[in-house]
Amino acid sequence: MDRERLKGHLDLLLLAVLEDEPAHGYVVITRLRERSDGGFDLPEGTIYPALHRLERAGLLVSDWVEHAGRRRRAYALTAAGHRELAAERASWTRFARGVIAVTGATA
Amino acid sequence: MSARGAGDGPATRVDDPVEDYLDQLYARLPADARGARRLLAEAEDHLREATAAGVAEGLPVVEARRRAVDRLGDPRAFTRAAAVSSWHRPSWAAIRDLTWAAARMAGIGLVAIGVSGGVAAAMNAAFGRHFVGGGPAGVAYPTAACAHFLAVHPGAASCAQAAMLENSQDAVSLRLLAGLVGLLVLAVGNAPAMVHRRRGGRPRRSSLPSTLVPAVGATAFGAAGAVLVGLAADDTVVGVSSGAGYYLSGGLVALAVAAAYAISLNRVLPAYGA
Repeated sequence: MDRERLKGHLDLLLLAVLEDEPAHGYVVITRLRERSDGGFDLPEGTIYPALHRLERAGLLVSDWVEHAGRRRRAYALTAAGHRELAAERASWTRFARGVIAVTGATA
Repeated sequence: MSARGAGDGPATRVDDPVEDYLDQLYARLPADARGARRLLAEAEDHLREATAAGVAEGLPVVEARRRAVDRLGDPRAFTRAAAVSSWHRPSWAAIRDLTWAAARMAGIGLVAIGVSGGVAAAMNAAFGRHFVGGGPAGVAYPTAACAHFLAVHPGAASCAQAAMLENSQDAVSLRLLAGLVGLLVLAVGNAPAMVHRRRGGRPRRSSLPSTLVPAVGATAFGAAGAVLVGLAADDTVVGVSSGAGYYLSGGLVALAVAAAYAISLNRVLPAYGA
């Protein structure tokens, strides 16, 4: 997928991969890659600033956790993050349905 | 990338793209100290984990490190994105912190005006009330103003003396009133944080860069102090308006507040390697 187009949906994607359980940055990136079958291939360095931005916006919360002797920053959705995800997901679904209906593309 | 050849360090040192990347990242970190430490820690943890994953897939360790670095991307893009992301979409926390910082500085400014009222009172006592309230010689006051001045200061020998007494008194009383308003602003603004702390909450960290408020404070109060001291000097030489003490009392306090902000700024700057 085109990287610029992907960046426009990065917030939704990050919130979605953190929906079920907290994770640190590397796992977030791994989940993005695995769930997209390798289709979402952003420079991994862009993920961290995006996570920080979402945290500043109050959609994520993070804290250091110890794992195998290393400190990691684990991110989790806030209540506002869950609401934002639901709203963005609904918006995206409406948009995708519209595009598919107009272009005749298949999902 | 740094060149690490023979004689450039311990014999066990090997080419390590991860270390080189972290060196480059360190040199480009944003000014916010806590944010910078966090970015560096996250980048290092990411690179170590990505390297371990590469090794687990069968890559030689150096290749695994190189792939981890390549996937993380240009460190310039990493730090540039971080700098932009801080202000890309201002959060409510940032807006709230900025509003409170502005209100707090205004409160401190009002308290400084109140303190300058105290300094004016001291100047009245030390140098005579003409030093603060004195006006230019030969000025003619409107009849109504004269009547007011003489009514308030019935012991004055002339309208000019009554005006001088009124000016010197206003420089104290009105400024002290402003100081009380400033204390009220600071008390009201600090109340939520005090309640939060009394309930055992941890002090909340501001989302603003730690240098912002001291830098703005030092600049604003420094400029105000310079202008007021300049006006006092101008009055001393030319004598175009009130007594020199009227401006000097404010200027000295403004410069003191600017110095306090500058000291605060100096305490923060070493954390950035300045």
